[in-house]
Order: sequence, then structure tokens, then C-alpha cells
Amino acid sequence: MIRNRMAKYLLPVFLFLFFTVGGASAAPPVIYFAVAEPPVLGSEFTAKILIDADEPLNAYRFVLRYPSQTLAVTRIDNSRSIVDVSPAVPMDDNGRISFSGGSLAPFKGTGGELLSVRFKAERAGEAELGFDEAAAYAADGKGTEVIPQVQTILLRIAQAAPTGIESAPVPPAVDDAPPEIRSLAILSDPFNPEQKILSFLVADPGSGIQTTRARTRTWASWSDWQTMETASVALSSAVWAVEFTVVDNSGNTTKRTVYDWPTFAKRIAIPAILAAIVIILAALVMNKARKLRAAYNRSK
Amino acid sequence: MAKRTCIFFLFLVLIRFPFIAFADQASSTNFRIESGVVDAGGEKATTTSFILRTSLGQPATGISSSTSFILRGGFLNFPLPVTATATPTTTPPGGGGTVGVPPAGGGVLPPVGFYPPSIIKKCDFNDDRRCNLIDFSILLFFYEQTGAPVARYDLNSNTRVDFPDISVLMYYWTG
Repeated sequence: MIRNRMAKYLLPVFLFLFFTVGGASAAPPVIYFAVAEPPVLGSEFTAKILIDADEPLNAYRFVLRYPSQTLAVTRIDNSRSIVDVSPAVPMDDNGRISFSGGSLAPFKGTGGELLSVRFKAERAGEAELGFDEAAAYAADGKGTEVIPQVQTILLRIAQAAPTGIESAPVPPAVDDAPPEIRSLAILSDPFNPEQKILSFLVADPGSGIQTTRARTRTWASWSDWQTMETASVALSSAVWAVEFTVVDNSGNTTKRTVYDWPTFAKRIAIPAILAAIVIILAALVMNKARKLRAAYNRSK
Repeated sequence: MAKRTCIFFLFLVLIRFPFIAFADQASSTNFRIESGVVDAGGEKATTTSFILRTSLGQPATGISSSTSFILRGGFLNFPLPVTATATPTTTPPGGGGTVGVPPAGGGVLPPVGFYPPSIIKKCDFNDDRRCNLIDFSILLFFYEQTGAPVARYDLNSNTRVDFPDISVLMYYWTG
């Protein structure tokens, strides 16, 4: 009897707690598209990939899917992305764009831009943008994977611009600000003492980074310029200077040189000083010998 | 004479790079070798197009040594066939620090295809034998923190979890 009465009261309490507490947990993040301009055949439009998150996230990855017969990618832009560091450049692979990366500061909120893709509409009709894969990781120090909800978008590409509206290309925004080099360093590779790692972090909120290049010095002369599309590349342990240049999509350039002074001392300075000492000593000895010879000749 | 030279050279290589010849369980996504031992091998075999004169088995795994040599017997185990790099897209990317393939030459070294497990272990914070986005997420959680509690994530041992640690993780990225 008592047991029945307890069950009678406890069951509603349990159900209440189950649904209220369960319902209070954070909703999964949502990754979706935002397209401002209506796509028109032959013109370009931008699709932004945005994320809404109730809980702090710090890493993301997705594979975007688009119909490559209908749309052509003209530009992939992560200059306004909440992602600060990416292990790979956004890859456009015939209808799929892969992107992953992390935020130095966790993201929580709505409308966080992950990536912006500029398409050109090459055929009229319907074009669906969607995701083949998507994942996010909670900023909890455990690498907890959070499966986001993903939303597709169906675009209707009109044959021509509506009457009276010109489909003029959007003029690019003026960007006079040079790109930022937020971090640049020659690191000792903690796992392999036979090489070093060049670490850099660059950003350009105005027009985005176009290219990063570097050249190195192992002796006195510079190597050729090499394109650096990596946030960390291996360097020979003999490198003692790196000149680094970054160019944004508006042509603004920032240049910086970093030195590894201990390597410079070991490879250049100390041998040069020793060589100078040897040359000076040799000169002194030769001079002394010449004087002795002259004195000897005079005495003769 | 040539054989002796080869054997000597092989020993030198193994001594110089011991990590390339260790015995261990071998596994991948679709197989697992629990015991790295096979029998003594076959004998002479012929077809119309080849002759196999002899073959050797792998009778034991482990380390054997004498005063003049060390034999590390077992399968070469490369548990992480890593594609640490990716071909850059022809579409110009926007901003941000990004990673692709640097060309070889000058003071810049070409990317390495795979790394020994002993190295991967150092940046594999969740013990899945990879350095990937999960480890990156964990590292970012401790970003800008200092002290002994975060020493595990301070990859370059400068007492701080900072951008150089991210660079190290990125370099050893296995995907």
C-alpha cells in the first residue's frame, strides 16, 4: 500500500525531473548557410557558412557539398572566420569543400562565420548547398565531439536579372590595411632536435590573405623565396634567419625577419671570429718573419 | 664481400635509426596482427615468369643481441599511415593561418609522411594514436595557461601553453 502510494507520487516527480533537467541541457549547435543576394545566371553570389552554439566550442570541421555542374567556386574566404588556425587550406574538390580549424577563444552565440564561399552561377535552375560531414568540439578540455544539426539550402538560379535591376558585380571593399603577422618564430622542434619549426599566424580582416612566402639563410646568402601555406613548416637546423612576407588580396604587404641568434653565433659569428683571429695571427707572424728576414738581410 | 658490406651498412642504418625497426603488434583500420611471428618460410618456387630461390620466415619477435650485433625481430609496424599534408586548392584562400604543402628546397624541409608512435604520443592527448582536431580542441582549452597542471600540453616546455605549442601540434598533424 505504502509502496503504491510512493510510486504514485514519485513517478510524476521523476518524470518532471527527467524532462525539465533533460530539457535544460544545451541544444546541439546548428551549422547553416546564409545567402544574401539572389543568384542569377552568370553572376556571382556569396554563401556564408554560419554556426549557432549554446555551449562554448573551439574546433570545427565540415565538408560542404555543392553542385559543380551548376556552380563554380571563385573564392574561398576565411578572413572573417571565427576559426583562427586551420590545419589545412579550404579544399575545393569538384563539388566538395573541406574545412577544419579551431578558435583560440571559444565561440558561443549565434551567427559565427566559419567560412565564406563565392560562387558563380553557371546554369539556371535549382542548386542545393548542403553538408556531407560536420562536427564541432566542445571547449571542455576533453575534446568532446558535438554533432551539429546541419541545414541545407535550395537556391533557385534565375535566367536573368529581374527587369529594372542590373546584375552588376559588387565592387570590392577598399582595403588599405596591411595584413597582420600575429606570430612569427623559429622554434626548436621539441620532438626532433635535427630540425626547427617555423611557426606563424597571419590574418587580414579586410580582404583576406593571398599568399605567404619566406626565404631562409643558412650561411650568408638568402635562399629563393618559397610559398608557405602552412602555419608550421620544418626548417633545417642550420637556418639562422627567416625573412617572411605576407600579401593580402588587395596587394598590401607586410614583411618581417626573425633570427635564431644561437645558431647565428654557432654557424657564422664564432667561425668568423676564429677565422679573423687566425688571419690576424698569420699576418702578425708573417710580418714578424718579414722583419726578421729584413734584419737578417741587413746584418748580412 | 658485397654482402658483408650490405649487412654492415644495414646494421649501421638500424643503429642510427632504431625507431624504424621495432617489433610490435601491427594493426590498421582493417587488420590486426596479434603475434608478429610466421614460420620458417618456403622453399624454392618457380613459375614461367619467376624463380623464388628461397625465403625467410619470422621465427621470433623481440631483441636479440651479442657483442657485435643487435637483431630487432618483428614486423615493421606503421600504425599511422599519415597524410600530414594536403594539396592546396586552386581557389585562393582568404585570411587566417592556414596549412598546406610547402615546397622542398632552401632551408625549408619537405613534409614527412609519417612519424613514429613515440612522437605522436606526445601530442595525442586523448590516446587515439593521432594528432588531430580532437587534440587541437583539448590544447586550445588550455591555451594561455601556465604551470604544472598544463605541462602535458606545453609541448615546447616553455612553461606556457601558447602558439608555439599549436605550431608543434600542427606540424605533427596526422588528421
